[in-house]
Amino acid sequence: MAFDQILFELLNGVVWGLILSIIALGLGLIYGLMGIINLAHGSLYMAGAMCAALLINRAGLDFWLVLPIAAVAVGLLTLALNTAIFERVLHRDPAVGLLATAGVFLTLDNTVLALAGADPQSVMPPIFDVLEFAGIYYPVYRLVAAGIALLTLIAVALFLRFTRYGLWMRAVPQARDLAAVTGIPILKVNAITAALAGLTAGLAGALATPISGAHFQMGLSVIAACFIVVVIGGMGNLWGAVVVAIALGLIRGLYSTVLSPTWSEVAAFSTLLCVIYFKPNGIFGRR
Amino acid sequence: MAALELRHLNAFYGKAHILQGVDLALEPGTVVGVIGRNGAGKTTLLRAIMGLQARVEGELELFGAPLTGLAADARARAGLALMSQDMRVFPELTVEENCRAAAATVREPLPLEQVLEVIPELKPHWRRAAGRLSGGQQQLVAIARNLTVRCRVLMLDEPTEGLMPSIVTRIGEIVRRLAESQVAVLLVEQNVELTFAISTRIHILEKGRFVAEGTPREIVSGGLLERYLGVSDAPH
Repeated sequence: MAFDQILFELLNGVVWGLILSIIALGLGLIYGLMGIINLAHGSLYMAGAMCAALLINRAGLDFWLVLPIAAVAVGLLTLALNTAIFERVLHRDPAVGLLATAGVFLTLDNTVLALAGADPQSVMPPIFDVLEFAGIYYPVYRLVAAGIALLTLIAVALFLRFTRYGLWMRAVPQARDLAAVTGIPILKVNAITAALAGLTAGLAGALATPISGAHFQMGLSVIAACFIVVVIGGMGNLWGAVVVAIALGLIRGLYSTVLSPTWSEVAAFSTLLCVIYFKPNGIFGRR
Repeated sequence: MAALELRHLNAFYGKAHILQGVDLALEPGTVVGVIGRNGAGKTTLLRAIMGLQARVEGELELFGAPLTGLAADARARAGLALMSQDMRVFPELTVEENCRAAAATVREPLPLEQVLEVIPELKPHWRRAAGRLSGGQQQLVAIARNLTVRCRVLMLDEPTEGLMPSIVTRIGEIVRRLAESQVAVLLVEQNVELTFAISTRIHILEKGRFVAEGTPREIVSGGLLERYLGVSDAPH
């Protein structure tokens, strides 16, 4: 295979990995803080994508205006889910959280199906230019999307490092009772976490729409990938999941140079699953 | 006005009735020690006051304001603090972050520079992960957190368990100093010597009830230690 094709596939892998990493970040945040394995997280990504596609295709809004609207809308939706569902299943058997969020996932997907139909929605990229370098023509929008995902990761890292709520979000998973007796408002911290997780999932969905289109079941493929990167990154290790998401993108990109898209996905996931054999707690797992 | 007042406090673990009508008034600037055999309900008493115990009945007031119905975090922000040997630090946060996490919960925290003046031992470890410190150093971090939030009532559950004698003495000094600054202290401690050295009054808890109370001298001279704890020697 020619070098230019390999480079093209690798870039695609990095773009996909960065978008996946901001979805996995939200999944990891909710798990780390609340101990809830949120099966509906892929549906939040789908909700962001569908929200963007419908606002662009039916309401005629500009993509750059829709991007923050979709992110905030899904953030608010997740905030509502936190109040209605997540807070109710906190500190219960993990199976209760799994079943409850499975219910949310089915409800969200089928609501979108009922409202918007089963036809995939395609959206024109807001930037049509291509960048010519190293013998390839690469769509500029994909690089911009990857840049926005990267900036989002940096923004979340700065939020966790330098804000009061970020500090509390790091503290609570380490010692929940101590956090309570220290006076950390745990319910508020949970709410901010849920909103942030929804915001990043919604943003990822909207960012991905011009690349992959939008469909009511698109969350399914993403949630599987997210679980794999969260587990292999090390349950509860936020940045481990981010690193593995980007690595998964790269590995998939590499396989794409010699395999069909479906087989490259199978091969990429299988490669990562092999890690579990040697590191059952994930690459960066501490427990 | 009492800093902390309990009226007919009852606490349960499932069907087990652990605390049975406990009454207590804790004045600002005093150290009240609670002693009793293992299983008497000492830790449950502190957890019930803090709001960590699931089923609690009775009245609880902090400077006249009712605490009943408030979650533990709200009680902490109202000025109640609990130091327990099984939850000393956020291990992956630095010592500074441990203190900042607490300081951020109140409007006017004690500046961290002043906290370090009281506990200068923490200065060399300020940027280290708190989980990497020794047990005694972690206990000092816990005290630092409670200093920065200017807690008004400090409850200590076995604060010296497993610590070196030098650290035990140091913790005793800091607790005394806190009491001098009008903090009310409720101390549950197996270390009878320390309890008698720093407490203004001592209560003996047996099977979930206070069965005796008095000054350290009264407790010793009345033979109450031997009667309730089986300890014959008076602490020096």
